[in-house]
Amino acid sequence: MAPLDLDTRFTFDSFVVGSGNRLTCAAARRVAESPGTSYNPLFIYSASGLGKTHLLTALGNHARRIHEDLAVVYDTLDHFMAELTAAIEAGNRDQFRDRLRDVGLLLLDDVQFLAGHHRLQEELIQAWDTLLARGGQVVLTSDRPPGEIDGLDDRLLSRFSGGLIVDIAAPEYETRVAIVRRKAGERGQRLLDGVAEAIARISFGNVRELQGALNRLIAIQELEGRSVGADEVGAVVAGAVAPAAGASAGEFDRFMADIAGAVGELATATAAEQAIAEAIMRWEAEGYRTRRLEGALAHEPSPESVEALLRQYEGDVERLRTVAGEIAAFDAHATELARLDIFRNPDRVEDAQALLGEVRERSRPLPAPPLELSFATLQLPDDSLAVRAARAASERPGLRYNPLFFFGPERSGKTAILGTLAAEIQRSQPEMQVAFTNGAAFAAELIQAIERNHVEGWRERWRRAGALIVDDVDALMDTERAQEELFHLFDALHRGGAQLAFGSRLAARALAGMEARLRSRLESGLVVELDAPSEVEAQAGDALAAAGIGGTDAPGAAAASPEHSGAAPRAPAVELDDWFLDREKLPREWPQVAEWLIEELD
Amino acid sequence: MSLVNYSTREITCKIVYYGPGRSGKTTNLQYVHGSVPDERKGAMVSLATETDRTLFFDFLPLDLGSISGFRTRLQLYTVPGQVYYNATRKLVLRGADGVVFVADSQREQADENVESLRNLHENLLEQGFDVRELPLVLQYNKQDLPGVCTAEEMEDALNFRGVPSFSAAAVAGRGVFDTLRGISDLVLKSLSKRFRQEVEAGAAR
Repeated sequence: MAPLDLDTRFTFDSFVVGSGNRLTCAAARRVAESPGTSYNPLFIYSASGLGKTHLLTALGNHARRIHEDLAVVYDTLDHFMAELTAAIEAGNRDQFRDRLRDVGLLLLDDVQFLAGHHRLQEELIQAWDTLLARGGQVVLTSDRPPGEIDGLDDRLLSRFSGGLIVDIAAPEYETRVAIVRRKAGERGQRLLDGVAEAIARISFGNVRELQGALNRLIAIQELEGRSVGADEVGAVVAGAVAPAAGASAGEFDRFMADIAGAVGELATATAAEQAIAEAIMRWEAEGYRTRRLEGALAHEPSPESVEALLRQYEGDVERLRTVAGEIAAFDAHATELARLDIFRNPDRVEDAQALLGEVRERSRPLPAPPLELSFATLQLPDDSLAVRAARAASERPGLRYNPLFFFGPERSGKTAILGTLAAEIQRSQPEMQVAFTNGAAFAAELIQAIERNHVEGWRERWRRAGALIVDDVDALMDTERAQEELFHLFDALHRGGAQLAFGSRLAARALAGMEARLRSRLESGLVVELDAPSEVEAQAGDALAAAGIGGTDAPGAAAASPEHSGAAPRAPAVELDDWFLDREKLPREWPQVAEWLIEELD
Repeated sequence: MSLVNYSTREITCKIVYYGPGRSGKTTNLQYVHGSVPDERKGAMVSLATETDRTLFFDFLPLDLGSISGFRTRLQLYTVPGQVYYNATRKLVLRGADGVVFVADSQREQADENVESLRNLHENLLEQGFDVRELPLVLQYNKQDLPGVCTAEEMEDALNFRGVPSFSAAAVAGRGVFDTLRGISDLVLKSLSKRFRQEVEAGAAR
């Protein structure tokens, strides 16, 4: 689009700030300095002739000076509409939209004329959303607040009202004096004593009329080559003042001017307090606790302290938002957390961050089973009690032998059978969270959680497990907290029907330094002793080392892995006599040997 | 009820014109009503008898527009002056933020002024107002009539609390806005003080 040029004469420096426009001026400066971050959109409204366009242009000029790369576009709604109409007529509507897309700061004057232009409103909504999505800033002016613009689309109304709405009030007497002096100075005119005050005392509807009166006075000074005295002001500017609706209307205006001072004092006594009150309103409207700001109001804050205070507060709100967003992203359950009061209270940023830590901890995946293991590759006899029990448990986790407790010396196949069990459960139930760990790792994780103050989240994480397989549980001997945690975890999971399995070098009852209540639970299901150390352990050791899990059995196996790599240990190295191993020929176990009757033949 | 609402940015103040019958309370409101631009005022509600006596009360809402970013409204009420309408007077006084006591400067009305002022205090106390804290101004009306008490005499007779007072001739409009300005100023200052106390109390919590 071909935007209008910014009038470079209008700057913040040439804008006379008084109580009626201080807030608006501050907001405009803020927006110019950091567009797209604080008040977006900034909506400025006032009766005509009070400086909307001046302020809007000053904002644009200031922003251009500070941010050289920023695409600043100033337009009146009227011109904007004409451009759009022309673009549509020429079939260039998309081009028109594209051009808007690169705008970083859109200044739109007199948006009250949107009333009734539905097509334009539709376009504006689209342009608006594109602009804001790209971090652009919008500043609007109007002669009335958004809610009073007739026929404004609800979607636009909510967009207009989404940032900061500020107004410019008619200047009070002192500001009027300052304006008259400033304007006369700009024109290189000297006014006699009392003249500026006399002009300011006349009731004008707006600054434009005030300027008109001054122009008339200056014209007389220039044409007649003399200075106009204070006593002449009334007569000189009489023509410039629209005859008021009788003397009484003037009386009311004077009353208004006087009251304005009192209200201004009530609204906020100082600029610093005003800034705080403004921030309170803004953040309260967004649902944040503002006790910190309210507290500051009571202690006559200095401008510097206010700036720091507000920056700190806004920073905290920003952090709260980030934290809440991160938590909400984790899981559906956590979105409830995001609505907690903590996230609305900037005084509790640390709590919120701690909560994020908890949620992170909770959402961390559980240590996964070594999926490369399976019963097919397991080098334990298929009919051994250990394998049969593990098979049964993997087929119906939690329903058959629960818990399963394997014990036996090093390299007896504990890690392999546990790893296989975990892997098989995981394979048959992909949705289930199967945790596979060992005692030492479990204890180490707990210590880390305590260090980071995330024990709650750590606990919740483990309690998600549908199956918990812990190798080398004997490593928990003489630990207090880890045993206690495992005890509670055991109970919680067991109650919930999760499959539990443990491995240990020693039988449960031989675990000295293990609390009795935990010990008795460990052996409350099926206890299987593994005896003969076998090569199988090496197989599991390889797999576990590859998976980054080391049991006490594993290091040896892992160290040996170069020699054992490949299929070598898995294939029978020696041709054994099949006949000798035939189950039908050779009883492997002799149950109840004592009851066997051995007859002695002659 | 008065209101300073920082989130909706509104200030609403209720000001009650009190005084003996025929002292000029309604006249004050009528003058204000006549002086205010149309867009600033609501309809004046006046319930009067055939002889122009206020039967119930007058109500004039003034919208002063946005001042320092605050939508400011004044609600002006009058009470019926006659002794036998005390129930109505109490009703109107409820929630008042400030009171203008309109006294009749005619010598023969001196007793009525004192009696009405006493009645005001009585009603305020009964409604739990702290009379020392409630913004109050006096208006010595009808100063344009011949032979009336001077402002000094009125001051001696009525202003034992030393509140701001104004001479007036409400029929001609003299002193009407001075009075309104005086009470508005007091009310706004008192709101400001109360707001600060609330903030401090809030911060201390």
